[in-house]
This record gives sequence, structure tokens and C-alpha cells, in this order.
Amino acid sequence: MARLSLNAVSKSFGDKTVVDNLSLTIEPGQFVALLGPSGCGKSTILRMLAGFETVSAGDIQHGDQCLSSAKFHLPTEERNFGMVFQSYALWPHMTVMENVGYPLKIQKEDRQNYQRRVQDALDIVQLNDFKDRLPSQLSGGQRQRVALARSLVTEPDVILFDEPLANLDRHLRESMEITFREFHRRTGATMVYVTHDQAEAMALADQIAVLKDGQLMQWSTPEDLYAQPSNEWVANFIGQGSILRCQSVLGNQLLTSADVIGLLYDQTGHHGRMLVRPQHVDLSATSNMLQGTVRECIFRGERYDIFLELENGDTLHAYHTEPLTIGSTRQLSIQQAWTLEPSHDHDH
Amino acid sequence: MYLRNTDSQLRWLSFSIFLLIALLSLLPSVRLIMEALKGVQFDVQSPLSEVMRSSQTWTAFRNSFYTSGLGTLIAVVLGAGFAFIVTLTNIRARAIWVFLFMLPMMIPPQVTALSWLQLFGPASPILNTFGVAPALGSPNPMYSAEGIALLLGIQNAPLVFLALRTQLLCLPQDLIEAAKVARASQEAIWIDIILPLTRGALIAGAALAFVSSLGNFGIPAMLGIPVNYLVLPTLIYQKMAGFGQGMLSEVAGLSMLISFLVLGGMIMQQWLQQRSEYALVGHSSSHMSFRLGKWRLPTETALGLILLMILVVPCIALVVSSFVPALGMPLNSQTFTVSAYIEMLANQGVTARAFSNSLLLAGAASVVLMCLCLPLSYILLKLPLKVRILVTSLIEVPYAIPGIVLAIAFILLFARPLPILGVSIYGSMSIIFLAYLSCFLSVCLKPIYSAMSQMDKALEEAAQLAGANAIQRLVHIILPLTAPAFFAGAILVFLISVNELTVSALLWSAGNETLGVLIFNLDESGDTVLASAISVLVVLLVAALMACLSLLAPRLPKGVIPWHDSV
Repeated sequence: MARLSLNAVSKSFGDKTVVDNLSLTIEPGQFVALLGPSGCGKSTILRMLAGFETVSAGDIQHGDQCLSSAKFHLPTEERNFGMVFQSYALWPHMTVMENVGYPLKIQKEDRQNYQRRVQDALDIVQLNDFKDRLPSQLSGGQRQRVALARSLVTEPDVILFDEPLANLDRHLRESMEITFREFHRRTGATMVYVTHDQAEAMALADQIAVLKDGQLMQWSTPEDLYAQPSNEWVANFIGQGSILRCQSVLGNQLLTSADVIGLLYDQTGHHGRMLVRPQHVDLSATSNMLQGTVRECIFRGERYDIFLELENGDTLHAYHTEPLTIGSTRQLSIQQAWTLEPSHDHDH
Repeated sequence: MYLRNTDSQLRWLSFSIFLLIALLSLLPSVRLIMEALKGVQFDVQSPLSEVMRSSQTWTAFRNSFYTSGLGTLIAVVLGAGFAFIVTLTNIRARAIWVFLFMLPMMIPPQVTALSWLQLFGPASPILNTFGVAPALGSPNPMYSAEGIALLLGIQNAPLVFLALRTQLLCLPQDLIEAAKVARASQEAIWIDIILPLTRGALIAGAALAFVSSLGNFGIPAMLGIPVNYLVLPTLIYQKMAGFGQGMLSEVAGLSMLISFLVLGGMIMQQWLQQRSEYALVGHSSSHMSFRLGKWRLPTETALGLILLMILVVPCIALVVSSFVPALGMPLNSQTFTVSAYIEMLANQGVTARAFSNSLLLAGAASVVLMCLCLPLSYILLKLPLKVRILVTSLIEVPYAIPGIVLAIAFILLFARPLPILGVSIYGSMSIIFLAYLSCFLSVCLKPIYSAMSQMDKALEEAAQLAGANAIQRLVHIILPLTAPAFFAGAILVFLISVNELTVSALLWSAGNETLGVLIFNLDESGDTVLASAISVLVVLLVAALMACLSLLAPRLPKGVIPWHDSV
């Protein structure tokens, strides 16, 4: 097991820069998610790790071995990485067993070992009864598990996932998330997981890299990412919540209820931004300090989503256990908030 | 540089492949252009300017346009009609219709021409058998511009048919259902949905038919030369036979002219097609289909009659004329004779030789090209798009330019002994073989290339991650997944080259006759009965080959054989 590190990696196609000066250090055994909207460069990063793409600048190191740099490129077939593709990439002319065993066949594994290791890999994904089927005879979830077994059969140090759940329906996705977590616990391999789905990333990863336009926005644990987004763009992208205008304030601080009221009441400026998560808005408060008009009330099963318009025109998202009349005015208090660095490209 | 990601195995492979393409595709054309331009700088008396000022050239030019244009029109009407009916309706025995309609394309043009000649005219055995032949001395209506156009149309209709049918099979049923929900009438569905979506394929098919007509040699040679109605390819052939001074430069000039026409047509087709192409979104398992209801039987009858006219009757004429003792005699129990067949098989060593020559050439060409196209398409797909388009266009050139032009280019290339080696391949079978490789590379490449480009790239990447090197990936993953396309490529090359006439008409020499040349020579020397007998055998050979493949088809993956599909 070795540390995987990207040092100031850039990638351009023609004059378009897709990945810009990215540095990440992935510890052995970590489950890392690369998260971002489409076109943010996350797939390119994965393809550079796999060796399908060269790097334009910077380098990628695995332990003390250089995988890629502007001058050197270790071909994919010499990297011993596993990968699970969005399209599964199962070879349709091979049975489940042949698919899973192919990497061993290439390594010229002897017959006994081959049998045993394929068996073990199929056991992990619980597909031993299907080993003589062709991929076309399997369901979507089963195909994904075959792909998983194939990626781990050579016991690689690093397994890469390229949006592996994008083609599955919601129900199957949840059960596959559980499979992936178990899989990570059992193998202990380093995993790099590309997704555009923040819920998926939060559920699976130890550490998340949020990317936008080829640049790293934030690199932290899911909990920190949620509670302490590094700027306004990340705050918008991750989780639910409202961004309120307020007096200019230093970014990245946790505000108490009193701080929030102070900042919102001071009308001298509105260049500051604070993030308020809906669970931190209390609509049963009776203090007369803050109030809002109910604009929308949506039933979500376990609760109601309430959208209120504050006196300065900002919209505040809150949860409530009962429905509220649209147009009515509510007293409210905000228990805590997180101040934000303004994003550079935001101009209002 | 472009292949930096790949290993040295691949780099060597690509280097040698590109060298080969340069030799096969580029060299002949370059040699031709050099020869055509050789005389230019001297004076106005140069061969090229003479060709350009000769009224003969422009007459042939006009004739070429007229016969090809009319032929294309016929091909489009026939091909599109059949494609729409056979593909979009619930007609019975679809596979047989497709098979029969594809047959004219596979029958060599000189045989088609011969069979139609036997059908009409004063010497027609069929008409004579029924006693309705025109008076002796009256002209055969097939010896005319319209006769040539008709046969060009029939010969090339399958090109339009195939292009359109492929596109129609991709049209999902729900497009029609959506239109019906929007309360579109039957006519509106045709005008607003089906036609716009198939326009690209129709244009592509028509352009292919036109280009193929322009370059066709067999039909205008058999129908035009006897009445001195010359089109560009036959004019070149006659000039070659003439052996005048500066002849080579003259034919090179003519060849340039026809090449420009053809290449211009191809470029225009690609441009038009790109403009009218729509990407079809979404997938649907069922393709479009209309119910004919009470019109089914009349439609089937009409299709049957058309096929009877364009395929069966000429073939019968051919068969009949192979069983009479001499042309012009009616066929009855007294005149029936198999002497032509006996003579052909027993006495004429040249027939057996031509058969074995053609089989050898076609077999070798298809196997060699199949082996060549695996690494070639693989490497092509690794190249940046612009380079890829350039290389595929280069490969396309020898096939696109008419066979007669390619033959001239090969004569120019190999008239002198090879440098360094000092051996001359001119006048041997090798020159025909090389010309076939050059000519049919794109025929073989197309199905293979398209199969490979449609393959999910992740399939190969997954193998790469598994540690497989380039050769292993080719053999383990790509070859098995694209095997049908390889069969298709090789079969197409074999079928086309076994009957090939145009290239070998100029390159053959005593002892190296091909089947095409044999039939052509026999007909030219008036041995029509014998020519008919051989043609019958050729048609049987083609039909048998196609039928064998159809029988095999269930064991082959879908799409291998153009005239067979499981729909």
C-alpha cells in the first residue's frame, strides 16, 4: 500500500485547460470522492490516474514511483489499478468467470490460483452462482458487481470508480452504495470515486475533493464539507440551505444566534454572506427579533419544507413539522450560521 | 507523437501500416498525376491539352453524365421503393426479397449486359423461341444510351437500397407513435418524419450510385462500344488499345478528368450528407413498421413483377442462349444442346484457368485485406480526428476513382521493372493482385472500421487496466467483438473481386485471364453462346456463395451479411 499523490497536475486539450494546478494527497486505504458538476474535470483526473490520459504539467506519484509527469508516462497496463466503469465495460463475449479472471489470465496465473482467486472475488460480490452466465444474461446491478469483482481480482492498491451508479435506478443505487462500503472495508484498497451526486459522495467517502472548472474548491471530510464550506459556490453546491446577505464579515466563522441577528440587523452593508442550514431555523420561536413571510410550503413526508421571504428580500429555507399558511408571517430564530468567503466569479 | 500513450509494439505496427497505405493508396494516384502533367510545360501541342481540346473527350464526357444521371434516377426509384416497402411494411418473406434485390449488385456488369442483350434484339433466343423477334438487321434497343442507363440503374439500385434500409432500421417505432399521438395523418408522417430522417441516407445512396455509374466499365463497354457510343471509361479503354504516340499521357489526362468528376461527386455527397444528418436520440427495440392490410398481396405481386423483369427474365435469356447451337436460333427440343458447356469445360483450357485465376486472386485479396484491416482500423481510431479523416480519404481514393483509372495508374507504375529488385511484375498476376489490394482496401475497411468505432472504448480500457498489451487487447477483446465485421469485409471483397472486369481488362495478359476478362473477350469476338454459358456459371457461383452465407447467417453474429438480417 502506498500513498497516491497529485502534485500541481494540469491537463489541457488544445488551449482548453481542463484540470488546473491540482494537488491532492490520498492516503493508503482512503475512500476518496471527486465531486463536481459535469465538465469540472473529475473524469479527466480519474483517467490520468488510470493512465488513459497524459498529464500536461505536474506529476502523479504512487509511493515513490512516478506514474505520470510531463516527460514520463507509465502505460495503463503496467499500473495494476482496478477500475469500475460507468458502462460496466464487461466483455460481452466472455462469461462472468472469464471476465473476472481475465486480469489473472494476462498475468499468467496458474490454473489453481486462477480458480481460487476468481472464486474469492465472486464471493465478495455474491455472484458465484452466476459464473457461467454471459453479461447479457445479468441485470444491471449484477453487471455492476461483476465489474467490481473484476476490478479487485488482482488485489490492486488502487481502485478507480467512474460514476459507477449513474446508470442504475434509485433503489438499486442505495443497495450498491452498501455493497461499495462493505467492499471497501473488506479489501482495504485505496478508492477514488468520481461522481456528480453529492449524496453518493457523502455516503461513501472518507474525504471529498470538490471541483469546479478544473480547480479544487475544497478538500475535506464530508462532515466538514457540509458544516464548513470554503466559499459561496461550495455552500450552494453542497446540501440544502440559504445564503443570506449581511454586513461585511470575515469568512469561515461559526456564528451564534446573537451574532446572526446583529449581522442581519445592521443595514450599513450587504457584502457579507452567511450560510443557514434549514435545520438551524426555528419557526416556533417567539422572540420578536426576526420574521419572515411564508412563500412556499411543500410536504416531504417526515416534514414540511418552508420557504420564507425575509424583510430584506432574501429567501430562507426552513423545516417544520406542521404546514403553514402561505402569506402568513412567522417569528423565527436562527440558531447558528457559517460565514462565507465570496466566490470570485459571483457579482451580486 | 500521436501514439505517445501506446507502447512500442503499436508504434512499429502503425509505422509499417502507414507505409503500406502510402504505397497502395497514394503512389498510384501520384504517378498518374505526374504522367498527366508531364507534357504541360512543353507547348499547346502537349497530349493533355490535346485531350482537353478534342471533341471526342467532351462527347464522352456528356455521354457519361447522361447515362450516369439517368441511371442514378432509375437506381433511386427502384432502390428507395424497395427499401421503404421491404423495411417499413409487414410484407411476408422479407429475407427473400432482400436477397433477390441484392443479387443484381453482385452479378458482374458484363454478365448483366450480356443477359439483357440476349433478351432483346433480332438474335434473342427467347423472342425467337416465341417467334416474336424483330426482323433481322433491326437494331438491338439495348445498344443505346438509354439501354446503358437502364442497366446502370438496375446494377446500382442495391446501393441506394442498402444505404436507405440501414437508416430505416434505426428509426424507432415510437417516432411514429409520437406523431400519431400528435394526430398526424399518414401523409404527414411520411413528409414530416420519415423523409427528413432518411434524406441523408437517400442522398448518400444516390451519390454512390452516380459515382459508381460514372466509373462503370462493363456495361458501357458491352452496350456502347459496338455502336460507338463512348463514355469516359470506354474512351480510355479504346485509346489504350490504340497504342498511339503520347497515348499514355493522353489516357492519364482523361483519367484525371474522370477522377476529378468522381472525387467532386464524393465530396459533394459528404457535404450534403453532413448537412442533413440527425443524431437519433434514445433507443427503441422495435423499429418502424406499417401494416399494409388488404394492400399486402398487391404490393407483393408488384414487387415480384419488378424483380421478374429486372432479374429473372434476363437470367432466363442468358440461360436459354447458352443452350442454343448458335446465336439467332430458337430454343426447342431439336436445337437444345449443351455443347457450349462441354466446349467450355473440356476443350477450352482458358476457362478453367480463368476460374482458378479469379478464385485465387479474390481469395488472396480478401484474406490479405482482412488481416491488414485489423491493425489498420485499430490504429486509425487512435489518431486525432483530422488525421483520421485524411487517412481514410486517402484509402478511399483508389476505390472511388474508376477501376479503369486505377489500372492505368498501375500500368504507369509498373511498366518498368521494379527499382532495386529489377523484377518486372507487369504482365503477371501480381500486378492485378496489387491493384485489387489497393482498390478494395476501403471495401474491407469500412465494416471493420465502423464496428470498431461503435465499440465502447471502455471495453478496451478495461483490458488495458487488466494489464493486456496492445496485441493482447486486439486478439482477446477487439477481434472477437468485431469478428462479424471482418467476415463481412472479406466476403464483400471476395464477391466483388471474383467477378471484377474493369481493372483486369487492362492489366491481364495471356495466361492471367480473369473471369470478367474471359466473358468480355468471348463476347467481343462474337462467341456469345460460349460467353453466355460461362456467365450462367458465374451467376450460379455468385448465387451459391450468397446462399451459403445466408445459410450460415444464424451462426454468424447479426449484421455480417448485408442481404441477411433477423428483422
